[in-house]
Amino acid sequence: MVFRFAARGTAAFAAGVIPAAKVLPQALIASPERRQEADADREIVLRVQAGEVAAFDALVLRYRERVYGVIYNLIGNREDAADLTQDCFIKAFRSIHRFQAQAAFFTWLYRIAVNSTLSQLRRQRLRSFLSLDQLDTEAPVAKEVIDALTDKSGADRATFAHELQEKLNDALQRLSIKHRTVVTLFEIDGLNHQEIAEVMECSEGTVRSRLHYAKQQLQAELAPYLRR
Amino acid sequence: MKRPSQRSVSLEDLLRLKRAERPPEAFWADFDRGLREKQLAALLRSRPWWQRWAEGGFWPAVGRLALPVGAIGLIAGLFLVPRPHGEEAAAPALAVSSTENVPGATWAAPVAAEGVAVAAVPAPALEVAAVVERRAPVEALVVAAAEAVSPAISVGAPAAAPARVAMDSLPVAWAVGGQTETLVAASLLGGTKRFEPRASNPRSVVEPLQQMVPPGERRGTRILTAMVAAGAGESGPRASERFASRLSEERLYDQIERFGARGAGVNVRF
Repeated sequence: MVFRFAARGTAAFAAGVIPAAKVLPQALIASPERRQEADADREIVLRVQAGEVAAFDALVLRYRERVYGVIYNLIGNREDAADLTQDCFIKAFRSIHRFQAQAAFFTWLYRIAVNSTLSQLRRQRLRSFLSLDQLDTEAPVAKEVIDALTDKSGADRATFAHELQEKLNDALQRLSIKHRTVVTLFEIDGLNHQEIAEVMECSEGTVRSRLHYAKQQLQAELAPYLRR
Repeated sequence: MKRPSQRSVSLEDLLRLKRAERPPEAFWADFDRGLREKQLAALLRSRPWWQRWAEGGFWPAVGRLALPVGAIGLIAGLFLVPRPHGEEAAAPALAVSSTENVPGATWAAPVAAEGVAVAAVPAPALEVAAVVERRAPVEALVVAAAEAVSPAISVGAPAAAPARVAMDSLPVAWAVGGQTETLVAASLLGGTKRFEPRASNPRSVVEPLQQMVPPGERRGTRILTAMVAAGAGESGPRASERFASRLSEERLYDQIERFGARGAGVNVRF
């Protein structure tokens, strides 16, 4: 995806119009991978802010699957998730000149995604329905769990995987919006408590509390599938 | 469903299954196409000036505050619309003068003092009718006056029932009001001749100097009128219900004493 509207972008960038890069807070990008990722994001963002619109494509390519995953897991409908993901990137594109690098770009992008999704969920609370992506039963993460729950004969494995997927999504949808968001960001997307607190604009204690409550509720819902 | 317990499966393991839910490859091609269209539309579409301001394109600090400050200013402007200064002060005076000009107020009080059965039409009720007239349409006045006098009319002159007809214009209403007063006077006072001229033609004989009332009395009348109006409720139908309940003069004066209306102040005792 390439855009040809960046007439003055590169020249402005080369001429030193872009201000010096700000140093990100250390606590927000604790892991080296995240820090490296954040530095790369910052450079791209600065280019986009300077007018190089095509540079935004790199951000889209880097984050589209993760953003889609967050929204899909929150909303449980892939068509709506695709639309919301596109809207999220459009919003980020239009507001990127206001991004001041006080937080990591992905945190800022996640915040846009989560807020858009929460607004959508509040609007369509009474008419939401599941439209699920295919569960890849051969993926390492899924294969191990499904093997542990079936007899490995393969006879009813696909049926069982489908049933488990529906039960899991149904249990997630029974959570409140905020609890679902915390579980999705922590357990599925792998964000830590501090990052979730940044995204949801609440305290870490609130995140931990919500996570604890949500897990309790999920354990009760999914008790038949849990083996201790 | 067979679930051998070869390995413990935790909730976290189950939730990790969600990572294996992935859209097909063709999905991303459609996604990119749709995103490109939306991005082009966003680039080409000109945004309204307030959004450009709010996003800090022109004057960042003020631009962010423009909408809330403008909204607050608009709301404040709604509350600070200038009103004519004398409007509030003139309203009670109008009510008092109307009260004084109502003929019923002139003749009903003596009748009540004399203990005649005609006391069913109390003077305060007519005063309230004059106050209500200032707030409610003309129709309310006519209906209120008719309700106030209807029991007496039913005894003496049943033909007064058409007074309930709704009126559209003030002269017509006054004319009907005058007729009603005359009917009331005729029916209630009956053979008492000394009230007839005053009830039938009350406005022509009053001297201008006689209309002047001492300030203290005028103030007391104003307070009395306001209290009766407050006691009678805010709407026309509710006022008429109060007329039907027929507040007596003694009860009204009890209220005045209770509220401690003296001079320009009112002391409320509970």
